[in-house]
Amino acid sequence: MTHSFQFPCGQSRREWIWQAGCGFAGLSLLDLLSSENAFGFPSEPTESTPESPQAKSQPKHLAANRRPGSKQIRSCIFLTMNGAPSQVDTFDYKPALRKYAGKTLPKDKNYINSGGRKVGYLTPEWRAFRPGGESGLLVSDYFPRIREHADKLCVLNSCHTDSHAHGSALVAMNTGKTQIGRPSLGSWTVYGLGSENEDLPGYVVMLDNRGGPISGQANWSSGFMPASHAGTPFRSQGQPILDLDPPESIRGMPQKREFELLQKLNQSHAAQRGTDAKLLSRMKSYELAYRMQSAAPEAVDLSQESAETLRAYGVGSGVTNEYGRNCLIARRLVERGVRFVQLYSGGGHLEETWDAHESIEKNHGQHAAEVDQPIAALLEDLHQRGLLEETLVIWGGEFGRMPFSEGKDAPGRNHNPYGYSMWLAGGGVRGGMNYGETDELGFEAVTDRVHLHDLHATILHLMGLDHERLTYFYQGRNESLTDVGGRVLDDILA
Amino acid sequence: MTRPNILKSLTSLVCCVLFATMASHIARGNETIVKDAILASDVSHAKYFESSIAPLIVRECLECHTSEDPSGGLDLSNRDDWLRGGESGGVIDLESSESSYLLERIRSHEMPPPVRGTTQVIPDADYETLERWIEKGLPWPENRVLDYFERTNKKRAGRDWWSLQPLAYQPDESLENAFGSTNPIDALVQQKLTKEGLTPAPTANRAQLIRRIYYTLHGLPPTAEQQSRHLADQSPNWWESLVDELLDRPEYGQRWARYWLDVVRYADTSGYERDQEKPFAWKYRDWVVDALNDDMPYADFVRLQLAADQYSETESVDLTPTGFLRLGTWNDEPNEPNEYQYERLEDLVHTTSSAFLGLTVKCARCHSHKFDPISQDDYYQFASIFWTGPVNPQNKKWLGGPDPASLQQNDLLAWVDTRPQQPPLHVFKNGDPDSPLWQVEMRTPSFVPSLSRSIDKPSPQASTSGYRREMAEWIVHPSHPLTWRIMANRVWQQHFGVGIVSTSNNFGFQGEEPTHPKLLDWLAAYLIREHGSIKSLHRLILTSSTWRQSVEHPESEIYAKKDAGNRLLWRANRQRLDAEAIRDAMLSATGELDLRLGGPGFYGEISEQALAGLSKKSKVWTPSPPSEQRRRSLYQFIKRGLMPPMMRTFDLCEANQSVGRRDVTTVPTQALTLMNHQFVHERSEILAKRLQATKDPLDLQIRSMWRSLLHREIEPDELEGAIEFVRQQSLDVAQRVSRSDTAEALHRTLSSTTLHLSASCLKTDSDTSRVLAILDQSEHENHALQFTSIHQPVVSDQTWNGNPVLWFDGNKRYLKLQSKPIEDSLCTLIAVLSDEGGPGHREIISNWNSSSNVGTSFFVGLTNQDTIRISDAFSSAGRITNRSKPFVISVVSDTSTVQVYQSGRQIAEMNSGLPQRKFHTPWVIGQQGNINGEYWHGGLAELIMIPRALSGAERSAVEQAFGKKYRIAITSASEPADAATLALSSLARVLFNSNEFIYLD
Repeated sequence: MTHSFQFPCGQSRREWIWQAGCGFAGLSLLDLLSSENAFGFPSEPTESTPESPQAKSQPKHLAANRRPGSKQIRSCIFLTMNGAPSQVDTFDYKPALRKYAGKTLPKDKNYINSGGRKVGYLTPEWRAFRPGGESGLLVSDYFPRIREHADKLCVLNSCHTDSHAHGSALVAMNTGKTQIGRPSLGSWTVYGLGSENEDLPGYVVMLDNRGGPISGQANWSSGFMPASHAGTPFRSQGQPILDLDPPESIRGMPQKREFELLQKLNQSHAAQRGTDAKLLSRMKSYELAYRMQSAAPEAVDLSQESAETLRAYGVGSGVTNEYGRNCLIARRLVERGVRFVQLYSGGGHLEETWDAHESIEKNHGQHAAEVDQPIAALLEDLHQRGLLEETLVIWGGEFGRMPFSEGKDAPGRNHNPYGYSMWLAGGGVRGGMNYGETDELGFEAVTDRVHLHDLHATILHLMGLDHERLTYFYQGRNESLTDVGGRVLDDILA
Repeated sequence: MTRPNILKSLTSLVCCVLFATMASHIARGNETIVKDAILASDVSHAKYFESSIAPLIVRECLECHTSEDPSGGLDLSNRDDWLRGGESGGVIDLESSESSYLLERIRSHEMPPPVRGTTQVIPDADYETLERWIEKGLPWPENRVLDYFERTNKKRAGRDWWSLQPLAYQPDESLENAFGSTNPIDALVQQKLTKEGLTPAPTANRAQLIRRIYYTLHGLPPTAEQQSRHLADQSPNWWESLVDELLDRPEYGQRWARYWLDVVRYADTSGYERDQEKPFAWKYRDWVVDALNDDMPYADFVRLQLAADQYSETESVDLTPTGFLRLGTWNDEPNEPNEYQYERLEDLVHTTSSAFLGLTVKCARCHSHKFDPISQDDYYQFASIFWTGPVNPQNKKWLGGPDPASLQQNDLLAWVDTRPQQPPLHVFKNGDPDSPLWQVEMRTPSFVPSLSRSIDKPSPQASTSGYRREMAEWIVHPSHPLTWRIMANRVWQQHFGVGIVSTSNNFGFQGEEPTHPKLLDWLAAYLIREHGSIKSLHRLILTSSTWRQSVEHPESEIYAKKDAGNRLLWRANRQRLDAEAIRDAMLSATGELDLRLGGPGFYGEISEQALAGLSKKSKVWTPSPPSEQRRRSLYQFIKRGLMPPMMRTFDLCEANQSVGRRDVTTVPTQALTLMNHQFVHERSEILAKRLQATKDPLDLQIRSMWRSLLHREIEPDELEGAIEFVRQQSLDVAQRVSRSDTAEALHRTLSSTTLHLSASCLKTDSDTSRVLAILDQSEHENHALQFTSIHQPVVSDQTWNGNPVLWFDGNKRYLKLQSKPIEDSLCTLIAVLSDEGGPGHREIISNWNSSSNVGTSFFVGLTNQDTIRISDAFSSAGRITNRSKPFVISVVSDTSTVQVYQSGRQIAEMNSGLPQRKFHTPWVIGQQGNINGEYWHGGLAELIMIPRALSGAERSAVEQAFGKKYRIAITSASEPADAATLALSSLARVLFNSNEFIYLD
């Protein structure tokens, strides 16, 4: 029995690499598993370490088989429609609702009346559906511009989730469970794949200016993983990251001088001591921080974009300005190797989000107008730059809405976790298709049902990760995003 | 003891260790060795069965095929059931063993079933063993029933797992004598070092030791005075008395409580959508601090947290420690309230078993624990002790706790049984409450068989079940194999950076095994013998040579090849300060640190940028007044939805589950935080100003900075470099010292106003100078209007520094606001005024109303000659001077304080917040509501309201701006720093960022 394979301070190998690697999760689990020998470590630890059960059980085949000939997907952009858009008014066409309009939902359909709101009558779509692209995929008039890209979309019409309340449903959409405290999809992705650009965070979250989503940070938390895997909130203007710059009085040269003196002091401190990776990696983290000070503002600097591009995204014009900026920044971030970008549409509460209790037409009319053009521009821009093949774009909310109104002649709809629509576009996904179905009223998913875990399993698969093998050992258990559930939706893979 | 004896006992100890090592090898995997040795023996012999067959069946089959509800109805724990088969018929063919269904299933790789999509294959040799044994007719010792948990194998731990075995030492007189006069820690560490041919590092130097022990016990650096006092201490017992001195200080409890708070997932709010405050959670935090400072016996520490209410023979028991059971997250809107109660049970079982037992009992909720000898019954028995409490859906106002009325104390976050007669739980198949199996019998857990016993049902009259008390007594039993090891290891971990068992919350199969098992046992026995005195354990550890070693070892390059992780402790581990210590050390270095003990947590200052992540933005976070901001990090209010960003960056753990050991990461955002965060800049500046105030020459100031931050004298070349640095910085900075920081605060404040009236934005009657409206410049467009000409104020003939002024002549002039400017008494009002009225009441803004808002209105005005009034509640809120000249009045109304300033100078502070106000009645400018009286007489140039209490910096920024605009001299608590100060503070910031400051040698 020997201790020669232990890491400093009894850390597990992974902890050690996190410290030594010191990027924004710069080194991934994949790197770690494949580069053990590069670090001069044995591939099989002789002694049980806290992480070793998984290190042992998942050597090289963590990644799902990549599709031959296809480009590897490097990044994911998650367009999060906070507040829950209505499926029957957007991507799930239900002509039967015209037939039954004014009737109540059949008695045998059980559901939780979220918030105990008024229950009204079945109500058809508020804006007409029309076919788009060569595929003829049906998209409503809330999204005329996105419809132009119908052939790129893979619409999942049979999604269902575990909670009817915004707070826990959104946390579930982001972390797989309704309980707070677990790592989010972006954290798992960064954990599995690392970042390609050490000068920028690997997982960026851009919030709506109206406010963050309810349950706040839990939605981009790294849960039980180290904080460095959490999403980094990014602002679209000014200083994108918290504490990126000092006060004006020492910006520029004076701060550069601080960095220089600091490194000098640290070097002489280290020189008086035996070699210690901790000291060296902390010194390196300052070099990265210094580089980030220019890399992050550069990433959000839209003055480098042509007037044509800005116009396409709707930057500078009315309601599309904010989401247009965010979408354009998202493209710039994935171009620069950021792994996971999440863009919230809707923030704060109620009608500030997609939570259309009062009126679908008013609420969705407003929010769709804010995002339709920017999202369409993003799809087009990614496509033109050849980035769409290596980027996965996800669109959707935390659940859907009821096919019936909130009272007689009431124009709003209540929460519906039983059936709703999301769409995927980009690398690895078949475009121009619908997958799964709700019943004829659009109330609940009935065919090829897609639970959140299935969605997560599929996203990870598309990113080149196997949801069953991407595990993190925590408190006696190999935790994973999909827990014991999840199936990859093979039918939608290109 | 003579020398040869020592050697002899050392040898025998080494042998013991060796033997234990071998034994564990055999237990954990090298079964093949054992098997080969016995293969030759008789297949029909009981010995063969025990060595070859039983382990195989237990390891590969019993996870599913045993217990009262075996998979497929097939129980493989006894011979009769092998022969009987399961739901799909017989599984054994004695005629032709090869065609046994059981073997077929193994051959086809269906059994054991795949794990996470990976086929599980039984090795050929094992398969052959099984086949041969079946061929021989399943020879099975009489009455032998296999038990899934009977022994450890390569897949899982059994009841023979190391941490479940009795301690190697008895907590009696023999304990201390075991190693003669040598500190047993040193003796046991030395044994392992000797075996590996290593020698310990020299003792660290005195300065290092002083710095190290202050951080270790207090989480704070020594002050310069403390440092020099201990350096100069000539007494031979200086170290022992320093240890005692520090253990006796209350800062010890403040430091060590934090570690326990991690373990019990402490936070001040509930989490989830509303993230409500858990009122009085802080009393539990204070209880932990006190318990540690009082050196409460560990057994009592456990008992009271789990069951203080059930130890109450008298009514006056303090229920504060049961807050432990209330600290978890709590969802007021779970999808299925009935299912949610089982989630809460899991949280309670998990936290309790992780904290006190170092086992993950929660993993046995759906099935037997996959890795440890914990049955599903164990889980549900454990859960049943909480089942009689308030886990069921109840009034949401109680935040998942008992009805406050039943506590007889309404200012506590506590736990009592609310339904003591509730029968124990059923075991749920796969953890599903819709599939109950059998009701559990109340027992203490089975994984410590020697202490396993049944628990009596409460009598029908009992007001409490007593279950938690029974569990507590089981946990603290002196012969419990886990409890004392776990706690001794937790203490050790904080002293060495890593425990003897590095996974301090998991002593099971998935955890790490101890590097020094005998030492761990000795420490555990010592803790028992010392009646659970944690301070005694500290003393023992801190006076060991092992702890006092240097971080540096002359042979470190060579040794690191042998033991890179220093698990054998041939030197001290260099540790990074944690989030709390970093923040506290900065406050300590500047002399600002407020060491006050206890009380409600303070809301730290969080930048607007970080608040953007909240759905309600700033409404839910109002920083506490400056007088609270310098308290120790322990007292920072922890909101689950908004962990203090700076602390989280430095690995403060999320408070959702028990954390035994925090991550220690090094990432660039930490560098950005320490270089740029406002907190660090403020500390640097204050330190610089403090040094400059000495009027010492620059080199002395710098020397002093080195001493207070790095606890050493500056080197000559460092001094030279530092002086040059300061010189260059001040040259650069001087050119651009600007009001830009103030400008940022000003912008932030002005953009959050809900009312901004300015005399430069008026609508006047086109013919006269009478004012029809003051246009609100905030985005609320809450304009002040007056359409009746006799009530209209006028534009004054005079200007203030060239700016227009609105004039009220005290004769029924006023304006009406269109809506309420604020909805809450947490607010700030700043106005630029002059006053020629008096001696009676006169108001500048008010919503007083004779019919519905008499004693509860909000107004600001003057009375007598010069006395400020802020509503009826504060009718004497400071006196102003020079009132006929323009001045700035600021009122900052916070939850527990209201402060009033005239032109930057504080003139009053009330020690309570405004009582409940009503805001719905009409608001007016220049008189007292609808009284038709109390009219303003004087000038008004500017009036803003902000719906929160401004920080000092923000208020000051606005006052400065108004002062500049209207040429009013503003007294400022903190003068804007000049170039020299900024340059010196830049140097301080570099030191705050240095490795020498952040790491402990």
